Amino acid sequence: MFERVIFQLLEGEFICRVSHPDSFDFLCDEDNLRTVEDFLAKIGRRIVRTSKQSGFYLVFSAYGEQERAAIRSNYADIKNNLIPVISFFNLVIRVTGQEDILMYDTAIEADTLMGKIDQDISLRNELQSLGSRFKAISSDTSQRKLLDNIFKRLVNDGYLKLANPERAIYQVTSKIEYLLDVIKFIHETDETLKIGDEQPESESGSLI
Amino acid sequence: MSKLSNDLLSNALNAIAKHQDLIHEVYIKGRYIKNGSKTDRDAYELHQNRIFVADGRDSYRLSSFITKFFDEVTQKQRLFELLGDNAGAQANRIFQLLDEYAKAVFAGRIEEADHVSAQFHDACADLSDTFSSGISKLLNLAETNFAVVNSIDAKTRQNEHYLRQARRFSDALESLDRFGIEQQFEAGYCDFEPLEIPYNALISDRKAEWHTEISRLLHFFETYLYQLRSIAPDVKRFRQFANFLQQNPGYELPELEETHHRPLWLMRAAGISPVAYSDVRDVSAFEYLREIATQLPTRKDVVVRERASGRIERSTNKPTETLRLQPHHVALDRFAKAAFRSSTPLSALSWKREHFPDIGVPDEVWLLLVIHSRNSHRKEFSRLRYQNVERRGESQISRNLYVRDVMVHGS
Repeated sequence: MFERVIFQLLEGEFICRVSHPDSFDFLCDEDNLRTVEDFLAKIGRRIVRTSKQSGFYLVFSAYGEQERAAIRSNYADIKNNLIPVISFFNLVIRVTGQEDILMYDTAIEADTLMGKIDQDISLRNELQSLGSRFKAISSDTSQRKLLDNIFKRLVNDGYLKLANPERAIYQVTSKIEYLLDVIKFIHETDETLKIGDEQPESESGSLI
Repeated sequence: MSKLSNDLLSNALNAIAKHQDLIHEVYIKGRYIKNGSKTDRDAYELHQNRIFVADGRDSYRLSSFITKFFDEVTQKQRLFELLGDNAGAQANRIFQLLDEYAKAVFAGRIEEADHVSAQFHDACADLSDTFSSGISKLLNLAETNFAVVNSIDAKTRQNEHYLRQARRFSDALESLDRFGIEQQFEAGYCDFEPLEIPYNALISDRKAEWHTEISRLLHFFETYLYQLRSIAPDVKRFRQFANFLQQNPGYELPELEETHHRPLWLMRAAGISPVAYSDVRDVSAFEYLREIATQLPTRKDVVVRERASGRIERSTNKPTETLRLQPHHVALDRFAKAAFRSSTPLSALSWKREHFPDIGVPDEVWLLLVIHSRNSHRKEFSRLRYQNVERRGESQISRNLYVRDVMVHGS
């Protein structure tokens, strides 16, 4: 299991109970986690939890020349793919009305989603334009096929996991928390982004 | 039960059976509005039997007791239901009835004690029902994550409300434990047997199960509430950003600057693709490898079948087969012809040595070919006469015959 977890982390996977339940359970054991941390420290990496603690992923422990190049490349990748992913989740929220889609472990039923999109021409157009935003996804196909291709892409990118292939039910993985962290960073740092004057509610308030 | 009560119950049950479609419709739609039709009379009959209640001058609603029963049956979720509020009061009623029963027994009022005992039984059933149905509903809400509402804010408010309801159940259970009814039964200062049996069956035996379920519910609601509250600012930010992107489709993310503070997500090691091969000699890896092997899809054998019907076979596609005689076959044929033409018997060995010395067939094999050719049905051989030149072997025991040559001539 140790080897499997190390390889998954090195491949850039997000390990959570949805995406890799066995590996997640392994890392939840403090002794195992310490062993993994010791190994990763030797190769200049460390394991961290996502902001809401639902998953693990790998980060560089230093910021040298090599890391700088890798981080730049990673950021370029985010720049290319972030907006279509955000647009997709926003479409799901609008169609289903369920804001908790953005919570780890939430289920998305592709059939239900497609059924609702089918009933509204503006949503159909939105899905079509969303398809064209994803690179290497042809929007010149049926709506259902297009939606399936988008789901497949998000599964490949690690945001979703196909939990039930027969009923086409997908589950949101802990990578969603990574996405929310990126948005938070952009929101805080991009001066050109004027998302209203209203700030999100205080995060330091009582949670329980 | 008195005759009057019997009649009322009978009438109510008949009315429910007779007007079930109307009751069903009103449960779905919420109310019935008088419209001057024959159905108004049915609605009035239901109203007389307290199945419908007046909702203004010209409309009826289903009685809240029946609505609640149907909600239970259909597991319908309603907002801010009062599930555990009654539990505490119902538990207190049990304590009061127990006290009342003891007083009646000590005072020797047997009939009153019997009456209180029956009421105690009902009170236990009510409390048991409140716990069972309430917990079942709370579990349903927990499993569906308050599916009846959509936004994070609304879910948070629902969660807060139902967390309070779960705590009420917990408090009621705690008061049952604290009051120690079982201990009072055991103390035996009074004949509690008529109360002990229903109490044990309906409450005492199920308390452990309720404790477990309520602990689970409290844990779930508290955890989920924490998650909802912690995700709320992110959701708000996400929706604002998504709306901004809709209004500004040309927006691009800012370039990364060295001066930026580097949050953890930015330091992510996005991944390499290491390749490793398992050591199949390692016994400890066997189970893991077998698990992988069972998950491998079977190889698909694709058989391409060309359309047969309506196809013209092209003979040119067929490979050309060339028949070619072996040298010893040629030699044998020629020998047969020469022997037939010869006026004297022809020695097979001499002829071979003279005409085909290098066909690569040893003399013994050649003689064997010649001997066997006499069994051939071909005309060239069937018209020949064969005479073996033999010698007897020197061994006294075997007395083998050795063929030294074959003399062949035409018949």
